[in-house]
Amino acid sequence: MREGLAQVFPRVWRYALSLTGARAEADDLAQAACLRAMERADQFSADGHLDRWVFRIAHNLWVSEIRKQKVRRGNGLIGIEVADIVDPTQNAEMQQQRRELLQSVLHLPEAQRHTVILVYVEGYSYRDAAMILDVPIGTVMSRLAAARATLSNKFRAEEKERDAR
Amino acid sequence: MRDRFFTDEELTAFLDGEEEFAPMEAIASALESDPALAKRLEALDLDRAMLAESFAGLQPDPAVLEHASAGARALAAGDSATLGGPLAGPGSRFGRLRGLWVGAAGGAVAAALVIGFALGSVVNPARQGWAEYVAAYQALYSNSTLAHIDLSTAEKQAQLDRVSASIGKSIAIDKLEVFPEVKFARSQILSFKGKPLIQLAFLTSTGEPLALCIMRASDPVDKAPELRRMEGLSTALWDQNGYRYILIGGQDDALIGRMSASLSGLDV
Repeated sequence: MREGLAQVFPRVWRYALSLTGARAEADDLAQAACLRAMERADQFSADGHLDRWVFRIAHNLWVSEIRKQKVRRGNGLIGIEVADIVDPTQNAEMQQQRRELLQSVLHLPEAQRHTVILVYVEGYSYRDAAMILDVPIGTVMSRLAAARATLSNKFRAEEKERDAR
Repeated sequence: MRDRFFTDEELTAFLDGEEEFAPMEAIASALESDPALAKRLEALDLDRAMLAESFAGLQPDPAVLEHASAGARALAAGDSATLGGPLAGPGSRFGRLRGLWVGAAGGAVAAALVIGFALGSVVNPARQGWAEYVAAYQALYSNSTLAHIDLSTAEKQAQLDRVSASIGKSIAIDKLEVFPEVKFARSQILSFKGKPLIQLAFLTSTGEPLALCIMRASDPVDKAPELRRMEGLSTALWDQNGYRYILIGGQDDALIGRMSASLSGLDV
């Protein structure tokens, strides 16, 4: 678990950032997920995948606790802006196209955004993403298809605009 | 006979190389004569590498990693005095983190676990395109990912013929089975920036699988195998005869070194 948590922490933090939309809340959620994993270490099978397990814990913590609190406080489920989550000291030279792509993903509907990040950013298979999100594989597929259509359409439209200039 | 209609979900799975959820061969075959299908695929196109790169820069503050490390070590040692730490002032962002760690110290888990965050290993490396992408993918594999695959040599060769043809190669299976400690398990087609990439997966006796990934090189200059660690995995990268190779998996640098030398020597 030592090496595993060390490896997985920045990835879980990044996923937490996509869930919460705020760096400070991502800090808390990622740490809470790692601590929950430690508390439940006896439930983790040695031949399992620690990363998937911690991602699932983070997702469950978000759905069952933090998201509800944000909604109750009336400041949940708002779109995430790149400017709010990118640390300018770390990302001063992020290319415009990548920034636009990042923003487009962050503006996807919440369920699509989480699925896109798990599969296309974190590299999980459909089966693994379904396990982490606790949804059927068909749901993962339909979310990805919808997200691909949205993103592809947006970038083709922008390409056309650029070509027309 | 009327051609089969493929759903957007199936086309997405095809683009993602999810063989289990897409009729790969039927779609590939239909694409040869169906321009409308090609248009539909184009409408689902997404640059996965650029997407991954755009998120790669999102990293926690170094102080957060450091604090997590210190907290975990103190938790393991049962040292509640250290858990507060100099960053954990009341009401601060790190004060909340302190609360988390102190709360955990009071729980049953405390002293039993030694976490020891190896901060050096989590520093964000500059992404290097396909190799980083392959490494991240491989980091998710274990032998159990492949354990259910039980193909005969003839079946594996037939699969290998189909897969390697996608990048214009022909690979004999006996070139992949020269090391007694690794067993060739399966081959599959993936994609990187819309170009085919093949992954040949191997089971090992250590429980950590290996993968040999090959794609066409845009710059056909040969480079001898170079060893490094990627995603914490032993890795060899080389270019040969118009193809780029990456052999990755486990932590046995000597095995990866010997295998990469053999595979490049055999011009796989």
